[in-house]
Amino acid sequence: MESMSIELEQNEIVPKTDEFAIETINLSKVFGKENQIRAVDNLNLQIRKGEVFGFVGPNGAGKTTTMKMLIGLLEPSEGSGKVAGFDIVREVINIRVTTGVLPEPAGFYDNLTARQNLRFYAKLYDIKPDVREKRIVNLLETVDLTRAIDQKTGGFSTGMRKRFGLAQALINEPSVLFLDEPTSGIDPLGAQMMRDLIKDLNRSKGVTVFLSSHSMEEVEDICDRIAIIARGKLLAVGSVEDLRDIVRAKEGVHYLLEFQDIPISEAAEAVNNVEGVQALEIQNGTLHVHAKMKLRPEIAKAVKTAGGTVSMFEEEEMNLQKLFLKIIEGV
Amino acid sequence: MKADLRNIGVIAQKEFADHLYSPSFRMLLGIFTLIILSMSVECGKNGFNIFEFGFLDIAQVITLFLPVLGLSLGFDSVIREKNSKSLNTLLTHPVFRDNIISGKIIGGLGALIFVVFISVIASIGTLLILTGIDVGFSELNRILIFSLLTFLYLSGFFAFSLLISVISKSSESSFISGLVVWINLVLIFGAIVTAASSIITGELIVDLDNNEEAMTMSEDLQKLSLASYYAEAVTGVRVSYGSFGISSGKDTSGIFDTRFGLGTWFADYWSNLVILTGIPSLMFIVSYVAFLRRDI
Repeated sequence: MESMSIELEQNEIVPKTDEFAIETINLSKVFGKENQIRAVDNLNLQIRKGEVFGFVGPNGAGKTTTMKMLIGLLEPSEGSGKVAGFDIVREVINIRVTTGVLPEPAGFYDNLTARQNLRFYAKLYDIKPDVREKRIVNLLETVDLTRAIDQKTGGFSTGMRKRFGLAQALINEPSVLFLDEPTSGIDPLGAQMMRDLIKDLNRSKGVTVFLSSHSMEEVEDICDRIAIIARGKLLAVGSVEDLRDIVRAKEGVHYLLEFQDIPISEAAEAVNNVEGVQALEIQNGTLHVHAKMKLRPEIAKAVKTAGGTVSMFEEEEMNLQKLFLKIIEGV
Repeated sequence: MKADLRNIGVIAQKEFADHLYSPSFRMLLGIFTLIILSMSVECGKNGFNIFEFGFLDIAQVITLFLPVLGLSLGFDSVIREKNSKSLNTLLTHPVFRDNIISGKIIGGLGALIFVVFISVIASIGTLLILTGIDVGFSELNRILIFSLLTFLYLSGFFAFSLLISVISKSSESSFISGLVVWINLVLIFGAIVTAASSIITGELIVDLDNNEEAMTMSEDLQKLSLASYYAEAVTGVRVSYGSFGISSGKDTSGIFDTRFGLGTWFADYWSNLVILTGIPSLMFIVSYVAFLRRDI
């Protein structure tokens, strides 16, 4: 696969008009002499154009292996996939031309300046010199590295290197952007700047973003949908709310209630009679209710029937971090 | 194919520029050029005509020390990029591994052409200017063949260092491997061969009346080093520091022996040319295959 060449002028390659920017069908990768390590196992993904898609999982889950297969650095053992409409085995060069990648870790030619590095990458896409030079200046301005344009990348801080990595990934104006841990190792301010850049790219240019990260806060902040993978298997996929529903269906719902016009013990008794309520606990004047499913109207009605009113009715907030831990539990 | 060739060219161009701007490469080239230049000036002042007396002293310096430049071009060419993860990033762009290794080989060979050009200017050019010897078509051909021989010889060391760079885990181990090979197969190879011949045959090689077996063995062992083939083709003598210069026993005394035509030289030394071409080619092929198979 590595030596595959396709007789196409690279700057003439445009993404195919498929519905999905990225699609995999039973994509699998096995390693080891006797294929004993199944790094990616029957992965099915459909990522729409213009979507910011988060790909999360514990270490060794198969995130990087998946990404490497999608950009043609690894050949799948089984299954198939398409990126920007191009087959991940037969049309690797087209995928590379239409995508941008920020790998982790990303290394550059540290003896060269930021401008010289980008010039080198741009030449690989046969971008005309006048367009190239303008684009280099614009990209470095976008990632706030204008002042470092003629500095050697060897002297860049981690944050600068990450931003420069994003600039090199954008040198070919890609339609799909693969970002592997784009904010790892950088300070909160730098991380926020990267997130804003990614959001802006997605909104202003419609770039599809495939983001692999360990930072749940980041994924929750910028991704439209999220896939959770562990031991090579896709465990869940959807928006944060979809993931909440998945966890609710598996774990039940946890409510926090406070009451008026009724002693808390009486209210607890009324709630306990609602079908589906599994456990109750009174803590500091608040009733903690664990239910099998969503029972908000049923609980409110039971309290009202008992002669009280609910003054506070909250569902315990489950952020992506908690959802992730619940979903991968026991895998 | 067109895109592949263009990208090989882009990588080769970058490699060539990297070598030429590398401070260590410049320093080494500067030192060796000065040594060759000073020796050539000395010979030139004495009216030394290379087309009459051959080229022994300067050829010996080139044989012994210029391989360091060949080694310096390749020893961290791949491993540095692998460890710095710039290879990781490069492979996300529309280039394949075969493009990268081909570009590195071409870029390095380009830098070697530059080294040979500087060496020939510093040596033969200086001698010709100082002695005022007329250079005709035949002499020019001999100078070109000498340049080609030097290029092939240095390519062997570049190819070796590139191979080591592909399979090594660090630049340091690659550098040390190159240094060990240079010291043992070039710098003190003659001394090693002399000592080994004496020990194996039980004859003292310095005992001129009773050293026939030792000399034969020494001659055979000299064939293990690329330096012998180069020195022999250039001067007619297998020279290596610490050994006896062993005459090839052939009609011509190297490429600058104008008593015979180039046809005779070729008939005498075609096998040297084949080995000087074959060894680097073989090592480039092994490097190429090893690079394609390595995990990055």
